[in-house]
Amino acid sequence: MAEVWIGGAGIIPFGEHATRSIVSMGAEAARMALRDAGVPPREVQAGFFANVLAQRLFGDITVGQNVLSEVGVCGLPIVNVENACTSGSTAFFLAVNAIRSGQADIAIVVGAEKMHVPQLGLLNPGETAIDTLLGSVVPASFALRAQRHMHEYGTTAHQLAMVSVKNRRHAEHNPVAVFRKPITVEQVLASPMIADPLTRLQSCPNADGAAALVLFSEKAARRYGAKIRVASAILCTGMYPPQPDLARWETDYRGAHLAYEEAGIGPEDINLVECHDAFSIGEILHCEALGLCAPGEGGRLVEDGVTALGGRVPVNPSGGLLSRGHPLGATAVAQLVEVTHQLRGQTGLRQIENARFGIAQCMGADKDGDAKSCTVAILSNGKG
Amino acid sequence: MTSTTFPLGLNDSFLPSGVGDGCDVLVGRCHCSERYFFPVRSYCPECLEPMEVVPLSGRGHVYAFTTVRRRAPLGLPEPYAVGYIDLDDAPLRIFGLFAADAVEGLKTDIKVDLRVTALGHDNSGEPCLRPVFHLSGGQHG
Repeated sequence: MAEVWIGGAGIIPFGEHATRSIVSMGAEAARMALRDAGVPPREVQAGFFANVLAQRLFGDITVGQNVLSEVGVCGLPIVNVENACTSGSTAFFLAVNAIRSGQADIAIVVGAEKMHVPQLGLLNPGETAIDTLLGSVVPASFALRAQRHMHEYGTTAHQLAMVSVKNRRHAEHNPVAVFRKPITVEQVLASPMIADPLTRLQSCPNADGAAALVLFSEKAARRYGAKIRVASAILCTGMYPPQPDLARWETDYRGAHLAYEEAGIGPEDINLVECHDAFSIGEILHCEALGLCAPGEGGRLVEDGVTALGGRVPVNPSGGLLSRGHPLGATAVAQLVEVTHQLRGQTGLRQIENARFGIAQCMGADKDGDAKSCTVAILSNGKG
Repeated sequence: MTSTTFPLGLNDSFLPSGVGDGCDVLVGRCHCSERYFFPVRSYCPECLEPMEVVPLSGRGHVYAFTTVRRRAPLGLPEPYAVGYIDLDDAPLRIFGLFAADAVEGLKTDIKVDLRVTALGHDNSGEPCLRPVFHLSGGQHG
């Protein structure tokens, strides 16, 4: 398969940007990524823009063309992508494939979202889904996984809270994160209960934000220079089994397996992970699915410090969704930006030394006790 | 209870059974694989032929549960409880609401049954009938 490289990465601080539009945020991230790549905008041959809520909240469609025309990326194929939380990584998947196919030598991926508006309302699996009509809300679907995981494996409330504490400690040194002040297990457990056993501090905050990447073919990488190689990029969807297993998320395991297979490496080769910790239990499930530990051992993994900075395989060194915030369309691009910056050695006080392989994992949207979308990408610093 | 209707979108999936306040679950069954489907659909996604709609009793066991304590949607009371229930009559694990008086007594594997129950209110503020799982009296575990 043709090699794909990450030539440029950009991200703006996540948070509440009351006076900024999606276009303004997305264009800033795109400018950062293009400058980082050292590529003039007219050289870009394909554009992929991720956003989830612009149509619902603002009545805007085909926002990608608005964003990319601001940075002089016009007159080329542009695709607007919606795949819930995995919108950004789905845009990345499409860009990787555009380069692999030879259709483009340089592609840009932008994810941007604006959520801090009064009309946001509750996020659910879709207004007409039967689960929604029976009272399912996003925190409930993760709370059910947490309850089942505790029941089957003895995972504790303390272990769940440790995910939030660890990720907040990581975020202290991440200037783009929403929350950067350290918290304790006691504070996490004492914060308001949202859906048993998940408290508010185990739930990621909404945010406005944007992130972008510029991808290169081998030819473009030789011309402009690039250090980070895409070792695999997987997009898969749920099987929606009649008896979904909430403690072992098959779609998650399948995505991880496919990503390792395509990269030709295994879990023991991974030096860092950015995963979809929309809720504390999510990170525990994803660590198990990615093979960082045996099924059921995810609670102990975080409690023992294995996934903390300084541990064997740091997970969410950026602070994760729990601390960085979760602007839906931007999140999965932000994960890839963090892995890129880590593998380049550009993350300052949260830097993981000598990392060769990093994973960006994301899941999106509930359906029948499964996820509609799962993405796993493995990046390498080129030595691997 | 023959005139009972649930909020829009639920009437294809749940049917008052005619026995007291009991409620059946409508599931799809296709003979190509003997597999059951919920929510019910008109055509089998495997052989693409029309599928049989079968009413099943709403009896089952709790697989997982949670109590939602903030920002109840759809006029549901706060708190309210939801979960996944393993049906007794088919290999299906379905999402459902639990009765308000069941919230504190929920346990994994406990027996439940589905009944037509007023829970919360509808868009016009009137009490709303919904298919709701109750703890099956005296048969815990």
